[in-house]
Amino acid sequence: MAIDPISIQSIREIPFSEVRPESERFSLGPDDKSFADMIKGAINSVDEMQKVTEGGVEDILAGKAENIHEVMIDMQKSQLSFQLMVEVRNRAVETYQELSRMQI
Amino acid sequence: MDRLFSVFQTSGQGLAVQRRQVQIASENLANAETTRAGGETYKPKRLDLTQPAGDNFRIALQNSTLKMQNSNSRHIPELGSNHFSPETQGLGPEARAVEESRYRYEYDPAHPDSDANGMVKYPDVDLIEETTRLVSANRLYEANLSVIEAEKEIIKKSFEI
Amino acid sequence: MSLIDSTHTNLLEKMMDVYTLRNKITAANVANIDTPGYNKASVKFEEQLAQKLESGQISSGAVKNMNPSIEVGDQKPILEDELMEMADTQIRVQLAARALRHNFDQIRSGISGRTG
Repeated sequence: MAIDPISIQSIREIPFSEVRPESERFSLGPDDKSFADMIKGAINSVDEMQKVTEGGVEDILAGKAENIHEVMIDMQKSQLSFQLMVEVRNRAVETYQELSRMQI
Repeated sequence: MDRLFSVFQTSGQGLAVQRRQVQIASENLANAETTRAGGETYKPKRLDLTQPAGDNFRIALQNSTLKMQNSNSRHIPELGSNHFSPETQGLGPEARAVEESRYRYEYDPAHPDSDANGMVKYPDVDLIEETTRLVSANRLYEANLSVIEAEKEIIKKSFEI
Repeated sequence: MSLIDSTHTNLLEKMMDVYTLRNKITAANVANIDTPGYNKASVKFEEQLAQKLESGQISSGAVKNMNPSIEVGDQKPILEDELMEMADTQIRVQLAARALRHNFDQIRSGISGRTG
């Protein structure tokens, strides 16, 4: 099937610049604000994903929708976004700590 | 029934139709010789079936195609609204029992219900037709049951995603 | 983000939509086998998909724009055909669900760095 295969590469090996949302460009340098903004952006999109998933479940329970498979898929995506965000945050914190050490 | 997933409603309607076919065939068979049912000869019954409203098919199609817009996690629809309108009436047939004034006559002057000419009025029940209907209805009943089973399996598989 | 929401998962999701619709239509065909004037309806999608795949890789956008259609024939439904259709759909659903699970498990491994 001629569709992009899933990359088996571990996320940790993907350059940081390719992982975070494109609207939040991260500039090198001990700039607290852009770290916070980036994290906030990631949290927001995870939050949105969460809301969509919860809304989907509620719709089915209320008899307004029947798309069980779609909700199950959203659940997985939602969980993965969250995990990804946590890892991104961890990377970001580690990187910041390294940079802080360098200045001393 | 309205609360059920639409596929179960559809099959539920199918089951109901077949069950009524069985009832009607049984009744017709049991009354094949009934000359006195409330003062009159028994009238054979049949089930009139009408198709599901054409609109319901369109709604089913619509429901399956519209939601892809939600898969972008940045796009938040209003919570709780995704324009889905369940085809709550199901896609099964509607059935109406109808009595037919169909009779056949036999010459039997000794019969208590014979008329001035010695003719007795019997319901025009075709034994073979009714028996066939019975057998066919049973088979179709089973078929609708297996559709329900299959749908259950499909939904269960969704939970394994 | 295209890592979690890839063309591959979009396609699998789309197939699940198609299979759900197909089963609804199969249920309608079986329920209406004896309804006068009712002709067998079927869900078309695979031909469209095969065509698109033949012309090369497909994009997320292309997948989202592909939609199934309902085609009504000129014959009454035949019970055996509908039962076979149901069996076929069940198998495909299992495949799609497994593929999705596999996909998500793999991404999860990538995120956590663990393979277990």
